[in-house]
Amino acid sequence: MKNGHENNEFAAEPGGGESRLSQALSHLRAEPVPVDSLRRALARAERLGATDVKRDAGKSTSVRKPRLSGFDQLEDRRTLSAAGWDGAAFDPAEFQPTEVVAVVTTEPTRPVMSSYSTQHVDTRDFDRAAPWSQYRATEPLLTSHVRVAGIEFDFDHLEEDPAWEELLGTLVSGAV
Amino acid sequence: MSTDWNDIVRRHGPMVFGTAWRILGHAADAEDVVQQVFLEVFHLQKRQAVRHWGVLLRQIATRRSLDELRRRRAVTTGGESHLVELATGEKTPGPDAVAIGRELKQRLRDAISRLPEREAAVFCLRYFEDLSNTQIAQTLDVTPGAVATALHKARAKLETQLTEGTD
Repeated sequence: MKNGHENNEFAAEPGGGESRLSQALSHLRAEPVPVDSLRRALARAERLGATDVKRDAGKSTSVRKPRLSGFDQLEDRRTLSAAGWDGAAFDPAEFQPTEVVAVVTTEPTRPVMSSYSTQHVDTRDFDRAAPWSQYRATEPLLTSHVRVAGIEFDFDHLEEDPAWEELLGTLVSGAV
Repeated sequence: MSTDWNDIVRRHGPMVFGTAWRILGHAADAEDVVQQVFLEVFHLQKRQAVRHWGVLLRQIATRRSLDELRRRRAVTTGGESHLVELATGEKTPGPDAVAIGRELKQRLRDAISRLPEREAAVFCLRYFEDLSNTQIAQTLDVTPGAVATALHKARAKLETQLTEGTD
């Protein structure tokens, strides 16, 4: 980082010393960037893109801001319906509370089940009315794996996985 | 979609984080801003082509960090009065100097959060990111003249705020 800007731009102290602003800037600019925090931030950002890119086609609800309705009562079909799900034959027994945290169905002609592995998240923490900022505190949410109907999928290769398409088709047809 | 998202994150992520870190000085907040910035730009690039990722990301990072700084100030009261006793203006080594430095940084961030948005953004881009007036103008989509004016006003206001009560 260059340091040449402020020396001749800030008013000097009456006694000829460095100005208060210049001092403050020197201290602030000298702060080392926390490397661990930077790594975490980059990992989160990469994951955000990877998940959202894969899951975004045709949907209006993003991974980062899924509809919150239905988070807390996934075993209740009525809740799934409230979230837009109309697959009446969906078997909630396949969805363990610790495995599924989100149901997103926004495409009218093709309901899509989205779920996110929550190995470190207790879904009981999810409040239907919780704003995203509260929900975010329960991270890690963004993960490279999803588990749907007992089958684990790799988010990063979701579209290449024939089992995923097959599952979606099955869910849509109500045959699960 | 042909955008290589991970490449964008790897290439520009450190800059986005660095911007947030210098403005906020708080690791967790900076991480949140990074996520917010990339989420925002991710949705943006689906609606329109992005020609200059670095410029766009730096602009959003600066603005969102300043938003967070203002939000933080809104929920924090006090915490700066003891600077009067600490900021002696002397270059004293040791714990006192460290405490003074910490207080000055905190007070500068607080003062920046009180600036009008453009002035705050211009100041941060100039002194935290070392951008030239022309680069700042490009980043914020304003004229170089407007940058110079905003910078002058920002410096004067910050100097006043930082000096008030310390003499």
